[in-house]
Amino acid sequence: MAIKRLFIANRGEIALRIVRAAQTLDIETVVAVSDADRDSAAARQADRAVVLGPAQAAKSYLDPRLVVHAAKASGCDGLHPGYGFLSERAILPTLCAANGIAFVGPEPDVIDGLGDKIQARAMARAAGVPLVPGCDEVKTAADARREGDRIGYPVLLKAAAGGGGRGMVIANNGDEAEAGFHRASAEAVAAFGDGTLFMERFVPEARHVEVQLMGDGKGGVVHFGERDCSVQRRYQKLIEEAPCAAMPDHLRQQLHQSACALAASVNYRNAGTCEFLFDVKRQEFYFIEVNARIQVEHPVSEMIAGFDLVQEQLRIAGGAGLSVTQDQVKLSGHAIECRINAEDTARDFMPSPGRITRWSPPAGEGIRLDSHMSEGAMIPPYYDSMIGKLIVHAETREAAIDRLDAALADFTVEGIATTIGLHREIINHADFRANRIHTRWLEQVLLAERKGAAA
Amino acid sequence: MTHKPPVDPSVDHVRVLIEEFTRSGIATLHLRAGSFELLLSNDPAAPTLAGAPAAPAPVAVPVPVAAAAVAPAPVAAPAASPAPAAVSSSVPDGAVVITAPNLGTFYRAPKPGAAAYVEIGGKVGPDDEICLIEVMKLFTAVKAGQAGTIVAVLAEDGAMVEAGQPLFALVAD
Amino acid sequence: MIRIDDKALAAITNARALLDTMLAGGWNEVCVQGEEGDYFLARHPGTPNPLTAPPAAAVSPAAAASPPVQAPAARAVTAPHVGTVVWLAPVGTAVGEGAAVARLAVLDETVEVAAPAGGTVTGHGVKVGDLAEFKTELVTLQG
Repeated sequence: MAIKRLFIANRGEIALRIVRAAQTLDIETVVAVSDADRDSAAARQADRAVVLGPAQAAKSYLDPRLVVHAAKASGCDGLHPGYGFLSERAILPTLCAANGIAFVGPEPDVIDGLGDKIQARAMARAAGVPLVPGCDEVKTAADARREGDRIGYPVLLKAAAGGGGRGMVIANNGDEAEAGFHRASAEAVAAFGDGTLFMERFVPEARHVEVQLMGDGKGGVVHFGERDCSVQRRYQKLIEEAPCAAMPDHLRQQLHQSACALAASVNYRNAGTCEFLFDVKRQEFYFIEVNARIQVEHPVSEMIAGFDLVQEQLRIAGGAGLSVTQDQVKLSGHAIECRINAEDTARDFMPSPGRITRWSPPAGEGIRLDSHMSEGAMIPPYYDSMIGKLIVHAETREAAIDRLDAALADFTVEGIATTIGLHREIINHADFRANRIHTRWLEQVLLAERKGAAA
Repeated sequence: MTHKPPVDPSVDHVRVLIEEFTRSGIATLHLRAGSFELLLSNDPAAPTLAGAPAAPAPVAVPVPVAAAAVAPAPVAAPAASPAPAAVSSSVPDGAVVITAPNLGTFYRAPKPGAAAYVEIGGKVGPDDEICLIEVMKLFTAVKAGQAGTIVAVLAEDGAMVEAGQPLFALVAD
Repeated sequence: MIRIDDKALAAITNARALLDTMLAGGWNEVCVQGEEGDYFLARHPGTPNPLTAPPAAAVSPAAAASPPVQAPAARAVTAPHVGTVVWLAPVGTAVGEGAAVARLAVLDETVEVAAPAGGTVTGHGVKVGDLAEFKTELVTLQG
């Protein structure tokens, strides 16, 4: 049954994005807010806002019982978790199901399975998806040395639980593998309560490539092409592009097939992303993980596909099947997204909360801005630093870069520090223009050059 | 941590108070302690301070602060500080105050439920981490800076602290 | 030249804590006079400031007898988080500090909201069955 009233359990630009998508589909909206977000753009745009609790996320956005209670008590029959916060916690769809609310996302057991790196790798292996050579369970320093010797150095050690870049260690030989085990395992215990690590071959110059998927929950899966998210700092994406211009067509097809096969094998429902590491030298790709939610960078796929993924999410959660077949998905041109963060790049990316005294964004053909900001808006210090995403679309990568450069030059934000200036430096760098980048390029090359120039 | 040498650090406290006052949007904040008096006002009709410091408060009323610390419900006042008098009076003479390097949430333990990095009476070395400050998901570990004993904790675990706000008092070895 | 001694620093710290408490508690004014210092905070312009009153008035018996904290005599007890109101202490009930004045349901769980101080329930800000949001006034307590 189609959703009539949707609860949005998120904040920031994605809450606003979801409210607008729902309104286009004539769905009523109730947005959850913390005390700090009472006056947010999403709260003003939605039919209703419900204040869950105080500003701290742990007592508001991150409390699944408060979220589901507020959804139920405000008469919602659907709940969109956005990204981050509770979006990949199985407890949320579990509580939704127990309270008669349609969850906009996968089934709880699929979230749990894909959220565990070891299980996810097993699922990928079973679906025939290529994995980076590695070992699923490293429990001792001796294991680390033996497996490192077998896989071949350099190797990467990271926590079996948890996500992001925490607890990651690179080892170039057996001694470093043993030492690295001790360090990463201790960090994993501190962060996740579990010191089990997994190890894999480390590709020094890899690209991050990911496939946008949409599943009907019955084995039907459509992909919307791939994204290249290789401009990263500390494993956080800064710029995303679609398609991955560095990937040849035959590999691209294999990549899409692999991602679809994995999603189909678990009867994946709703939006998801299958992430891969692309070893440009070897011309191989390896499975990283599946993100069981809509992602920050979904707009670049929307731009090249001319398709609204969030609306499709709401239709599927309301019981509809996929609205398009794979043949109907036509990808064209090139899209690039910059994450505009309230950070001071001159001060080691120190977050810069505060009030926006001037907000003058660019506009024009092929330019899209997903943001909840406006002049006078306050950026509270409690949540992440992203204040918007600037997305451009053009016929070619070169034209898209030019359009993005002009748009960034036209983007004025005052009152806080932002990453706008850094984005211009990145996209005008010869390596970026020539598409010679990899996931450590920003830190190893551009930021290193910046530091050198400042010294 | 970065230092801006020529500014007297205590002036920062006034600056922080003014910022908080501005952000709160309230009309008047007036305080007087010994020879120090400060009136912050958005009220054009309000009287201003006389040039000379005001006379000491003639009326001494017992336990004034405890009543002020009453919050409507325990959970509703997450940022409520401990009784202010208790905080300020617990810095002994000769102790060094360790302050927050930037605005953020003050965490005494590496993760929720874990033991605190350091308790009152704990010995620390200069490179020992004693707390975390989190702003917008960026965690900064604060180091003791010098060897000594922690004699007071000056901010509440989980509270939002400003740059320069006192966190710990340490007596150097 | 501002001279900021330890006493002044302590007073600033106290003032900041009072500001937090006032904002969190939804009060309109706070006045504290004591050995550690004197403080007055007001949300709205035009609120009389006892610290700028003539000294003669301050030493008058009436002023000395006035309560140290001019907290509103009627105090709102607010919801600590979102929840559905399932019970409210009836108007006229005298409660001690810490006694339940309201209960909120969060899914299948019921949470008690306690009186921050003793008093008599003089009003309700919500009805049983309402969804109370964070900081919604549940009951009014008269000291």
